[in-house]
Amino acid sequence: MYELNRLRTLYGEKPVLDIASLNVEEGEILGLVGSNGSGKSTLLRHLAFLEAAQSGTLRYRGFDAHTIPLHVKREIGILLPEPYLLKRTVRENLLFGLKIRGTLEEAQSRMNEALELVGLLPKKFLHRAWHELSSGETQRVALASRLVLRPQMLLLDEPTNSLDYSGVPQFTDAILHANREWGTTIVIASHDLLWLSEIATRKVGLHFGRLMDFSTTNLIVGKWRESGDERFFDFDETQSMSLPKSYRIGEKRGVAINPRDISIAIEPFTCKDDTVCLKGVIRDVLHVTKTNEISLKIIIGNHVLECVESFKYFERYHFYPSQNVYVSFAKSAIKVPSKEA
Amino acid sequence: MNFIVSGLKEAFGLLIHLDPETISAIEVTLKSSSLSIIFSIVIGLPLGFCLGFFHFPGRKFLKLLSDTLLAIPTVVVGLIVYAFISNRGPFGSYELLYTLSGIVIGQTLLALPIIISLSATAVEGMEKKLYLTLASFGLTPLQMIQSVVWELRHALIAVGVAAYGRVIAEVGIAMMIGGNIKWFTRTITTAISLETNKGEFAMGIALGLVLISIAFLLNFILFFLKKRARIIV
Repeated sequence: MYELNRLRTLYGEKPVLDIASLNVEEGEILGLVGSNGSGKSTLLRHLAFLEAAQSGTLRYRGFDAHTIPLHVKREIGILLPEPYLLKRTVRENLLFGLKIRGTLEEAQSRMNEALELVGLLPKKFLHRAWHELSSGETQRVALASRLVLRPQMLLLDEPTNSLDYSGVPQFTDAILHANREWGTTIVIASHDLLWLSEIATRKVGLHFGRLMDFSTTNLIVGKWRESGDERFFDFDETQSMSLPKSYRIGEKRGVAINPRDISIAIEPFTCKDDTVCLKGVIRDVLHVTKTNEISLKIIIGNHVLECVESFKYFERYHFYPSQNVYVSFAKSAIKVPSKEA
Repeated sequence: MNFIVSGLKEAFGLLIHLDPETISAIEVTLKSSSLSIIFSIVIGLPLGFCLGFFHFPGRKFLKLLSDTLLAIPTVVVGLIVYAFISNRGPFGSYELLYTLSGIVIGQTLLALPIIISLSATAVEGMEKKLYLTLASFGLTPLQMIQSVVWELRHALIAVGVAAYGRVIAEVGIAMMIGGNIKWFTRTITTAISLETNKGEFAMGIALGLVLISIAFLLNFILFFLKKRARIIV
């Protein structure tokens, strides 16, 4: 659906987005992972043709920003972070896009369907005014007003931001419904890695505007101290990892470690020179049903590392939150992102 | 002190018994200010929208100009219009001086910068989120303009109400262009000015009360509109 090539955007002198190459395939659910300011929102606004990049190419179905016809552009729907509703009733908000497109047949049934998908009762909410909604309801109506259009491409920017725990599964179902029933291709930007792991068919990391070449990632950001021929990163007073001085590590850019490169055990590892061994406490254990893997979040000092293990491995050791564990990874698994992409 | 108290008493008498002279001044005022507001909105709102929405060379200068004209003294507008429509002026042959039409022209010119400047500010200050949300629906340029105007409706009505408040309370134009002719071009403000000079406080007070009530009503509307629009005009 999308082809991106050497896409670059600067705010002033500072590059906020610098993507060498990225394709979005029809029918996939692509997760964009990254912290605040990593360029996720900028990328989504480019994809929605709301903002143009300074250089490079961005094509949707072969069209770029100058050649894309309006009817093709209207296939794309975007849900912005902190969604904004038009100062009208819920019904008018849902009708707006349909009116613009002049497709008012089945409007009523489509509006009911969209509201039900996001978990709002049409009877109760259709005639509410915009100011009579809570922030969670606003977010749901905002998604419904995109779903009602049955977009071919749906871009979601932090869609679960204002939702409570009960709202998230509902959103997941609504997004999956669009993907499966209408063939909608979906790009989701979120910092909720666990949620993205559940829903996305593919994930890419964004870090300081650059793509990471692995699907999930532990980003470790902070100060490295120099000592001898090495640089040290301290997890706490007693635990640290080190890299040769030749690595150029940006303090803000940090380093990345693929969760699949991290081993976990309940007994201490015999640590070699080329590996890092740490001790931590499990915070979360999550079963990723799609891949039948277990994602574990481990607190080490002031940092959290995610590590992924097979379900079989989990069945053998039965990890549980608050358990003391040992983790280890090869030094070669420590990636310096500025060298990626 | 007595003349104030008796003036107040008489004033209520005039209002309750619908004194024809008092009512005539109120009618002339409402007619002239309403017409001039309609004209200035018809002309000024599209201009203000363009000034606030589109980016073109010279835009900042035009905005500055309209902001400056916000504070133009009514007597200066009166002077300019007088110069153009008096017998010796270029439009003298239309015989607009000392007519209601003349007042409407002057007051339209007075309200125009207010409408242009404040509506431009409202459009300019439109939340980026609103713009992006509208843009994300893939609107044609015309649909975009319609939608922006509709979304900003509370703010734009507030602009009209604010301009109405300025026009209805002005005295310079009505006096210079209208000439304060009884039954024809005497407005609330010119009548107050004349009656006070004559020492006739009752009618002055009565009309003053009417003007204050209208001002109160306008501000009451503004208060609610601002709350709705959540912007400061």
